[in-house]
Amino acid sequence: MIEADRRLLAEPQRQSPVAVVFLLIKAIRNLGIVNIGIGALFLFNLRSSVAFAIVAPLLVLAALAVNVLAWWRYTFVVIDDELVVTKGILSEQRLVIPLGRVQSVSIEQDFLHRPLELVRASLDTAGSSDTEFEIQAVTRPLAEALQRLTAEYVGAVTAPPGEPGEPGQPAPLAAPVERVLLRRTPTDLVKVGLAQSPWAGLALIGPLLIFVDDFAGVFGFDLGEQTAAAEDFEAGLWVIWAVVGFLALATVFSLVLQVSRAVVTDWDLTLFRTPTGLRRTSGLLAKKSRASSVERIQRLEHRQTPVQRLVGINHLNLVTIGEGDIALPGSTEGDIAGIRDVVLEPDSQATELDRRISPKAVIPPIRNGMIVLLLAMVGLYFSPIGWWSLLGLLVVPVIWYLAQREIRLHRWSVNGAGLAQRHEVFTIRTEEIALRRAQRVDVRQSFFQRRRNLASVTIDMADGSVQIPMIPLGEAKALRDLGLACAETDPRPWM
Amino acid sequence: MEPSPQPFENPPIDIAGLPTLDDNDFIPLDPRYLMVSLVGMGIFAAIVLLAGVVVAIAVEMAWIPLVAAAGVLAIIAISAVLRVLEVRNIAYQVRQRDISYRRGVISRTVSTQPFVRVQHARVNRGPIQRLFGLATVHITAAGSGLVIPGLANEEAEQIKQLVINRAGDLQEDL
Repeated sequence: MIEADRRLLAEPQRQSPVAVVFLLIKAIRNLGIVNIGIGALFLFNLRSSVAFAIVAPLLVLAALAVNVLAWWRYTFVVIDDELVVTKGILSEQRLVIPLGRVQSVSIEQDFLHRPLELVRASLDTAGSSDTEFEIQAVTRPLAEALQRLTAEYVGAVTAPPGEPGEPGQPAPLAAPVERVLLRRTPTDLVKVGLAQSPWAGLALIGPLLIFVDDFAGVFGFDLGEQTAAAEDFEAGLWVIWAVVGFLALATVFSLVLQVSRAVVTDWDLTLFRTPTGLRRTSGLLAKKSRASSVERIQRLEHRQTPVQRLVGINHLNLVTIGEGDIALPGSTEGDIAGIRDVVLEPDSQATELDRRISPKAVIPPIRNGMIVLLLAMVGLYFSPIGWWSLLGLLVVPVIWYLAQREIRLHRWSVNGAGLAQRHEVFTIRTEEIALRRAQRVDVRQSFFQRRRNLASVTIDMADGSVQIPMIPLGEAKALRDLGLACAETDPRPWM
Repeated sequence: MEPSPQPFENPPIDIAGLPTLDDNDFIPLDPRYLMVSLVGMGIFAAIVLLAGVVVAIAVEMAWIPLVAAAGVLAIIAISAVLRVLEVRNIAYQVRQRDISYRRGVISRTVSTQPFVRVQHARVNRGPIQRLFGLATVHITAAGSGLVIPGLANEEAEQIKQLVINRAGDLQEDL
């Protein structure tokens, strides 16, 4: 199959002619809807003149011609071990990408692609944080041929964990068979939608509140008249009921929005284990596919809100270098354990979370909270509120409780070459890394920490960092030395 | 969920036997670095003062730009005092497999950059640095890196070359 793919891509390929439409849409997006609107208004004001009759069609024709030319000049071909992309209307640009450097080829199918059975292919490399290049519309077999061929090259230079091979040596490429690691059913997605904050969807309908007057009018209410009447307590009772009713309605509406969003964007969410990494596909109206090599995944992050805890699900995010994180909502503990086995080697899994940070760590957040509160109270004292600003003191126990809770529940662990950390106030956030992928290690001591012989360690990864705060200085130095030893001596590729 | 085979083995690391970064082996920066920093701050302070005076002459409420300029000058003065105190603590240390840089006065940080993660290194010389014969080494890794200022020209070139050579050698060794 690989040989057939190579033969197919050895001939210069062009996108489907439908790509012209996608290029036009992209150009319109780049130009900005507002700018186009201003231009259209300007031309519309000229409608009585000859200029409108001539300029408007000419502009449309010119835009069409430019995009047709852009489509015609855009070709891609695989020559030896390199993907060569040629583009440019007036001056020719040649983009040469060594196939071994390609980190992922994502395939997406938008709503407009579906009737014509086309897809969009996006290619990422290690050297750029954005998508290196996109093929707007191409047949699925051609995109998949490109995906398979690049996967073979990546597999030749990167031995994926879980496949046979000596560390640091090219591994024999596993059979190009994908296996499903997890799949979300519609019930799972409904659970995901319902477990989100019940007010998250309100952000979408918040602006609609300016029409609340008109909305009430539909039901025969005059808000102005009723508000005036509300000065009378009995007549104003309806206002309380209206607020309660509105909140209930908004909650239901918000939940419906969240469930709909989860179902539409993550429909048939499937995570595949490919020969070189992971591939996630999902989508009801637009089918999206996102792939990444295992080595490109730098961190595992999972988050669990109190509601998600009740239904036993987490939001798992595989943080990759650059864009293209793989988000897996609705992951159970079993799902996380399975994916951890793929992404982190056994010696890099630190799951016990048995270490705590210094209890003295509670002092800075309480101190800072008090300073901010004091400044706010002093400011409010000089406002019309006056002595009522002392009510701010009621916040003190809240600040104290939240800081105490956060520090008491903070856990971290280091196991072999793995590091994990868990933060918890109400939502639990856990992050896991392999120390061998560390880019730089910092040990920092603030004035407060120096007086108490404490320090913070920051492990910088290629994308983001993990900081273990407020641990004894000796422990911090030992963690730094371990991190450096892992990064400096481990022969496995880090990216 | 299918379990995946994990043939790769990695023996446990003897934590007690790990090489430690010794605080006493750091090399201080060139003493001229303090002058470079202070001259730079002095020039910036002069520009702020001049701008404040010019704007104060031009506008009706002269006290506003003067107070703003005085505020900025106070911050520059505090920064200068901190730099005088900090310069004794700024130092670097090169080991076989990494380079470390220590900085800070109120909060102190030691950053260590393994050579195997280095993407490239370069030397930069600003006009004031050139005047004092100093240079800055920029070491870049994916998503991070180190910047070591206040090195004599030859020292900066040596460190840059060492970093590049060690990065290449160690990547080949692994």
